[in-house]
Amino acid sequence: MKVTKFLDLELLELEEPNLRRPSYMIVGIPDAGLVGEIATEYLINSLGMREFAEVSYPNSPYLVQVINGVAKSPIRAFYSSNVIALNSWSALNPDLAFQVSGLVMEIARKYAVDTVISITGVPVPNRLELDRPSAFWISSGEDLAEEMSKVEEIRKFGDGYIVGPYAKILLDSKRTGIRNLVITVESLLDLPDPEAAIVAIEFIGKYIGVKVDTSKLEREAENIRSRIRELMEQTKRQMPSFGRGTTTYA
Amino acid sequence: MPVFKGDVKRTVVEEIEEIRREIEEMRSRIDRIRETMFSSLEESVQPLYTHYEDEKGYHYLIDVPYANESDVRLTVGEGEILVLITNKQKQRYSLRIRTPRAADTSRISIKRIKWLIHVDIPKG
Repeated sequence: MKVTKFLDLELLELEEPNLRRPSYMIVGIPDAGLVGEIATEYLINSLGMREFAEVSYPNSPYLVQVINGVAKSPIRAFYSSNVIALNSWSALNPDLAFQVSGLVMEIARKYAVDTVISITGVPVPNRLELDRPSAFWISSGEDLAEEMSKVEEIRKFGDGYIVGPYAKILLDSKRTGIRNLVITVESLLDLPDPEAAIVAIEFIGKYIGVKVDTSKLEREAENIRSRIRELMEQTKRQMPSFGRGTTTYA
Repeated sequence: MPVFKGDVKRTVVEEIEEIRREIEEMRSRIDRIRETMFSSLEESVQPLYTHYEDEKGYHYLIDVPYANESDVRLTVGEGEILVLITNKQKQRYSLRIRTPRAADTSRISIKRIKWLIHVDIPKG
């Protein structure tokens, strides 16, 4: 196992993926509606991605996820042919979120990722009246913005703010030259929103060129919401510390 | 038909006795409900929920997997509204809502919107 230190974090790598080009890195950090977490976890499972790294944070209070009797960090990275996915199964406090978003760019740079894709929700008051929530994009640079403006099924976010870990990834991507695309879907704020996650998954599938069947997520939405109840509680407690209680707002 | 004083007396006594029996039955029914409620509360967990207020009323959106509006029991108590939900997997959830001052608790409605239970407390 290779251990790389980054600020207070340690990246524990079991193997080093060799990605095909163009390559993508999908990031799921729990925030509004758990859209990013639900979507990223579903992509990991449905694309049959292979776990290759864990993020350990020895200086922070310990939380270990136990899977089939094996203890694991709640922040782990996976890969398939041209995609890396980093997902957090635990809410992150602002300090940890800041460090994890910095580590995202380190991983992206190490594996020569072309585009980092962050997934989040934008809370809207009329969410329950929407048959299908809309997805919006935010780009780290002009070239990606131009590319995205030609995509029909997703709209430009326009004017607004983004705070928290995804804001840092956006700013870091400007500095490092790695493109960052934020996909934000109209969602609930403090209740899990699998329907918004489906919209994000469908778009990302098309964008990265993989076929993802979301019917299983629709069928298992009740079970998923039951399983992530505690994560939503943790996330609700952390969200106000990022700013206005949400990470993206228009 | 002529009615005699004695008969009237007997009828009134019988009616009072009947009312007394009904009160007793109602009292024991309330006790049974209260017992069930408290045992439900002890075994229940608080569901994920969010709430907002608008000009029409107070709206609670409750996320209980495997439940619909028929699984919800609502009790309006002294200054408090108790929402008890037992889902299809027999898991119990309870939410205590402090009754808002302007609430009209006689017109509370429950419905399922998408996957959420919506408890709507109108303003009086």
